[in-house]
Amino acid sequence: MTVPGNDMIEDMSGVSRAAFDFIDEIERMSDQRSLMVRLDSELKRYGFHAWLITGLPNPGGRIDPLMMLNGWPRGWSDLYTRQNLVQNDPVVAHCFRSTAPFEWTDAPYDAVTNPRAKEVMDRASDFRMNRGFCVPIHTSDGFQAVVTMAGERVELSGHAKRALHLMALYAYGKAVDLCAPKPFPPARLLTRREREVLQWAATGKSSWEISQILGVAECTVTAHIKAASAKFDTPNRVATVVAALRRGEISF
Amino acid sequence: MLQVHVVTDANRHLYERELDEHHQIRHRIYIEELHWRGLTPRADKREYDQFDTAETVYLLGLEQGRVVGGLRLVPTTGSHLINDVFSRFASERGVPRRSDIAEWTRIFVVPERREEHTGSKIGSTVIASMIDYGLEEGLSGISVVMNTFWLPKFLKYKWRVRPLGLPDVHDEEWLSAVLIDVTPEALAGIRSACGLEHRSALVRRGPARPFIPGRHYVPDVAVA
Repeated sequence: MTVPGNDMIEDMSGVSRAAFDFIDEIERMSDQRSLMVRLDSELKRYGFHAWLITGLPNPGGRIDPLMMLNGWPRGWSDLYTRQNLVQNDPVVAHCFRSTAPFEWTDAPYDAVTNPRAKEVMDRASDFRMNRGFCVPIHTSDGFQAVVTMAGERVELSGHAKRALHLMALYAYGKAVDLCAPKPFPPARLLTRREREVLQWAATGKSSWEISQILGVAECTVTAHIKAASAKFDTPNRVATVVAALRRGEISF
Repeated sequence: MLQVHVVTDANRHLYERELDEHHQIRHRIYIEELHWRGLTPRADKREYDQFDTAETVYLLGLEQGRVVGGLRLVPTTGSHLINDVFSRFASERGVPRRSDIAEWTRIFVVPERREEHTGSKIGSTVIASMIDYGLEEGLSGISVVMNTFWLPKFLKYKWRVRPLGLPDVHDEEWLSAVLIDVTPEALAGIRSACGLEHRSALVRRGPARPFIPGRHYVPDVAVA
């Protein structure tokens, strides 16, 4: 492509062609630097000046050890990690709820009941990150990741979003390939039996039903769930199942 | 270890029970569980569509004689899903139609085996066996229209996966059509990424029929 880096892409076939060229080019890359430069210039054409490819921590965790390729403005990156903003970031929260790509404006929060979320978004706009687009990635081991991109004034056509979606999936794949050490999912907390019980609980089985399936006493099943709940510090059975799913201890 | 049996029109008489079980499983999964639009419940509780023909090859994962997973391959030279139904997903690169390219559809793991890691192990063994089968049959590629969440998984297997068009929404899911290269590296890649043994799980029984018509090969297995 000979188009200068700041040219906006207008027509649909141009958008598709640029996306396919990008995917072809990054396939051959063997270092992080080239990928970052290429991704950065590609995203600028859509009006994005900031981007990040990262794993996402479970609640209470930090994001910095999970970051793979960081194209955020230095000041924002420092602020975000120093103040651990990931905990209150409504966009991050939405990544855990959505398997589909979304614009930041589709990650709603209530500014009154959730002032901390509003604070995160306000601080982001200080860095000209007003509008953004996210492609969430769920891997088979339950690890949650995202390719996120932001700019000041961004207007995306449906076609542009489809192109960004595809490019983000490939950029993520390449980033995983090139980044060592790779992020690992959190270590296992549960025993084999606790996972087994929660896997059945996730399908809606009662403790009595699980006890019949596994051929153990009902109180044994309850004890396993309580033990898992203590490890996750979750208040009830549903929250325990959700925590186990999210951590990849059990699967869908 | 899971055995993945190759079932074609030439040896289906040896697998009538397993094939029937597989059509029942497909009815349970695609109609009763996933409610795929375009598939209507059938009185006989077996799911078939227009791509279940004499040309279709089934890879069935069997454990103690029971079907626990599987997938379907059809030639791309004739009628197939991307060509007949989802060609808009291949609008950039076009629909691949070659005798050495198969189209992959209907991957499944039975619900009762999706617990713990056995579920993903069955699924990945069946997928690895598809590459294995492709290598034995001299295929160059496998095309598939799939949920986009598969794409990062495939790249993690170090597969060469080329998109045929941009992703789009169908039935409230993001789908993408891709062409996967069938290479020894692809087979080694999925095996090591998924912690599978580096030996074949494929089983062939009875008369063989090559995927590519007229291609002569000697299967590297005993004929039972």
